[in-house]
Amino acid sequence: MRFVIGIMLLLQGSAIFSCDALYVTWQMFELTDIRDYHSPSPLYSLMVPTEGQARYREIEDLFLQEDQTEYPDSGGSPTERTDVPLETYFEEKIAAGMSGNTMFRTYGDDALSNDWGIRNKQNPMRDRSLQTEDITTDPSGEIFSFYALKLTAGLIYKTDQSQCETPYQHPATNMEMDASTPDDHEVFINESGTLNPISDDTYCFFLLIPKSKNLGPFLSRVHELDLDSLEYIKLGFSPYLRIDPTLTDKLQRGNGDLIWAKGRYLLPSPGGKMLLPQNGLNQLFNRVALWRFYHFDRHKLTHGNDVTTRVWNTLNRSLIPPVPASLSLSPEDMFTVHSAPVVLRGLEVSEELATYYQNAPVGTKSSGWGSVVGPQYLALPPEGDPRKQFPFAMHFPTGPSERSFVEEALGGSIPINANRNDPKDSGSYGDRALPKAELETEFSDARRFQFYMKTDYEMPVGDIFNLAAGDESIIECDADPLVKGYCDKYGPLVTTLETLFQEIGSAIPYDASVSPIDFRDAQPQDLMYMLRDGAASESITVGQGSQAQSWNVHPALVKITAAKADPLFTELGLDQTPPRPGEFNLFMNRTEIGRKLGSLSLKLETSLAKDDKRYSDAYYSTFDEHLYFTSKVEDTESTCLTQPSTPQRANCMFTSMVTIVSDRYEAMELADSTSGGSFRYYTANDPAGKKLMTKLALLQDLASGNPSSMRWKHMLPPDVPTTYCDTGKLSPPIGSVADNEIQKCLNFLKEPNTVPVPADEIFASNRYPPGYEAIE
Amino acid sequence: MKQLVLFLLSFLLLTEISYAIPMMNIRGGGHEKYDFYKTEGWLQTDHSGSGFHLVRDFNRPNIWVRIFKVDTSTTDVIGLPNDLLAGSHAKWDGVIDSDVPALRGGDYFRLIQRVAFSTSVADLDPGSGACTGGGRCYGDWVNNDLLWGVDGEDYQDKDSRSFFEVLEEINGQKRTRYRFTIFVEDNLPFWFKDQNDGYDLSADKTQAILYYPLNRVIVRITESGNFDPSFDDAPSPDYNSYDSSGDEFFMEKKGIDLRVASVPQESRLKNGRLVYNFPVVHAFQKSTDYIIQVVAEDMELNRRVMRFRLNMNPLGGLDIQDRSSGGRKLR
Repeated sequence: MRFVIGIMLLLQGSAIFSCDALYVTWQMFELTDIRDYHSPSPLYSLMVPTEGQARYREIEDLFLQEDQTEYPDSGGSPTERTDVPLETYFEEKIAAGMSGNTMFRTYGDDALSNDWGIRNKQNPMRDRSLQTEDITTDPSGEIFSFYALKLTAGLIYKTDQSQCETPYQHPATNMEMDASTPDDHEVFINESGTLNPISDDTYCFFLLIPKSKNLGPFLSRVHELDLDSLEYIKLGFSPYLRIDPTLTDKLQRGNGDLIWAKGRYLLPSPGGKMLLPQNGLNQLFNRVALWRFYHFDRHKLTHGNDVTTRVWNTLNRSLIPPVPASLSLSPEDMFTVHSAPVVLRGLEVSEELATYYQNAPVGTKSSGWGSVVGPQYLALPPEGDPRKQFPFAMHFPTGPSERSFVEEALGGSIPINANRNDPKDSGSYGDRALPKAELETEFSDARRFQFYMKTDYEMPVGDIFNLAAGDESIIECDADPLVKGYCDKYGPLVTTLETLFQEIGSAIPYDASVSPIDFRDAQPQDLMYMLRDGAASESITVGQGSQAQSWNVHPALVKITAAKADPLFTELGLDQTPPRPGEFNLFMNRTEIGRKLGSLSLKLETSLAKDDKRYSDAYYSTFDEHLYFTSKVEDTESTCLTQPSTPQRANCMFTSMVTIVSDRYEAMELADSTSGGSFRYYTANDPAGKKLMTKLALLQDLASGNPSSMRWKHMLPPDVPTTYCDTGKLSPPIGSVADNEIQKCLNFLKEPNTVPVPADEIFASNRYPPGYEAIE
Repeated sequence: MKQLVLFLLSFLLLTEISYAIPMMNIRGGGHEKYDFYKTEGWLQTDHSGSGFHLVRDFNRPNIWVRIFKVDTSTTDVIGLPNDLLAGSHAKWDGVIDSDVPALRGGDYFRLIQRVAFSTSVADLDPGSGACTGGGRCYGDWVNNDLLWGVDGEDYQDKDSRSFFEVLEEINGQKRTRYRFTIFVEDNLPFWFKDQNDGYDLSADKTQAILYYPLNRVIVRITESGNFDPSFDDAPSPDYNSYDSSGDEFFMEKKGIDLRVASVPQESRLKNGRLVYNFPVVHAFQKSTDYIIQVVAEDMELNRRVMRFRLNMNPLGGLDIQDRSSGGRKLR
């Protein structure tokens, strides 16, 4: 009899497909120390098109920048990074793989060997099936990117051919002041010589970048959050233009080519080609992080049944539940562009942009290449539906970081373009990188001054935008049977939450009579401050048995916790786990019920984060939980070491520690939402709490329930070996455990100066996202 | 035989730049031997796109001149419509020819009415940026000629009339008075300076001062026989050494003239753009051919020169003869 156990938890969108979308069983995310395989962090170039190319109004800028230093067959030199156009890169790698080069083939021979035969019979693996023709400049192709535009002045026009929801303040035109002159769109001047500002929805204000030979035109309505453009319109800088009627559909909300995101417009860049605006001086930004899997094939570790238990233990013994990945960069931070509609969130490059790459200018992966048994291969997504998707995320420099970059580049502290060349195609744009010596001229004060007049980019934490669809109009649930399924499923949850908000006296974060509901504006302030500052007048019990404690919390928190126990909340969490089905995204983003649900849950989650520190301070500032823990370990030691035999001593210790771990800390963990997030906050931020978490990370397996939500073991500092307390050996039936192992464990657990869990954001984000509490 | 095949994908780490994916594969069961395999992998991050692109301005300003012949109240407009209103995506059917035409600012509609919209805008050569492959070389800012009009490439409208030749009735006679209104538009929409007319990068952006995006505009009216084009046609003329002594009229606008606030509200905007404009009133002194030249240079020092001819004939009109003296006079 053959058992094939398969649970497929798709994480990271198509990226996981690239491994084995067959009988992939349990996927659990663990921190690991394989951090030597660094990709390089290549330079940000400052590029200036030549006059001819600027006038041509097209450049091509889709270079794959990688450190090829140690590629045996790649042609990379040991001292020089080579920029290769993305298409060229994949063409070469695929060709190399197909010609027998094991370095870059998509699957190695081992993948087709007997060891994999079972799976092959069920669903044969594809072999090197990405073809060069898959790489196309067609927007529906596999590789498609976007770039950001900085300045919109000079691109704004208005027309009265159709309206596009742009009732922005503008100087009245003669037509608007005098209906008898319907074709007079000149600005009306009062007798006093002033303009007459109005906000009538007469005109559609839109952005237009005329076509070049191969691209465009790009059109889009002016977004209501585009403060710069709104100011230009207010000043009257918007020529009247009647456009080809075939283009007017693009002026409707969601239909445009330019997509508003985080305070700037994104323009499509098929095949890496960028259409340059004709409005003169401008600054564009094009940098995308692209992920691809590399694998070494399997290699045999060992064999025999004597290690079964130990290996099984390393697999966590129990079924690994489908929980979201604990990643420093959550799946939402990546996105794909072809599974429309898809909810996206890009990377926000922070202030260290200017020095970001200097820490590892050539990468460090060379130490790891080829060092493991088995051929290496490039793993690519599978054929069919869903299509091959390369997860990628755009970079979004903040205004200050963008400015900092330019200033530091001029100051000479950044080695811009030092080795940016493209020997394989001397005619490419990459060859015409701005020489360092010309930087000062090109980035004169006068030019930079124009850039710096731009309104700061919007960089709200957690901003989500819909790049693929771009359409924000409301659809009916009946539009799609699967969408209707979500509407039916979550409609009751919306009712539950609306009732909850009414009961606790917090405003429902939308006006049901207004459509479409702005699900991004959850207006959480009233609930945030209620939970943070309101009287903690209701008592809850945390812990069990002798470890039970009575804590006071705000009554609304109790009601919220009860409401969140609704199984639909769990279902929602599962449905939200990437990759989300397109229909779910449609439901959440485009239906009224979905938008209500998004708004309500966003308000709830945002607000709940507000009281974490409050209750952490209330519970733990006057009671040193870490000290209490060490005292309980000392009690255990004094009790258990008097037992007559080693197994008895181990069993005593096991029983005692299970009690404290399960009845106290597991209970605190599980009750954390009830107790205001205090335990998570305490163990991620408080010095004593972080020491306690180090010890709990060793003991997670002793928790009686050991639920999926507990992620203690992932917090274990890298320099604390799990062998300090081998809970496998200490657990019944007690095997060959030695006294010195028991003592070593006890010594570690009672040590007052234990290594705390790192402040590293990777760890912190697993436990408690940095800055999460600080939302105002 | 029982076989348990577990494909466990564990240890997945995404740091900013790497994944680690050990894979355990356990085979066997009962008293069978177990083989333990491990598959390792990582997610590599590459970066496409180079980063920042500074797109400089290489487009020359557009110029048009509205000519009003005072004595006969006749008008004409000279210039090449080269912006998006004359571009490949404009569709003015029925609007531009109405009784109250759009784009009244500066009578620009009179140029738009003449555009051969049925002919597509030319493609540009990626090396030189010049028009190529047929099509009309104006609209959408594609025209890159330094010189418009006399001595330059001629561009004709849909009726085969040159954009740079005035209507015959616009020509005049000695002492005929004209009002020329000069219009200069640039593809740069405007230009910012700080309050000291400089570029202090630490200045408060809310205090920035708005300028027309032009460095200078020069108008010359010169007898054609005295006109020397070499200075303005040179690649980089030194405007500090401009010799205007041979001109019948010379005017230069620069510096504070180009502050937006320096221009009356009713003149600041034309057709929704900051189109710099000012009048020149002139009565020609001689009976000869004249060259009227406008030079416009933007803040990125892109320069356009437009020049056109006006012919001033000898005075005509009523021939009064004094038979007693034999004298005669023209009035």
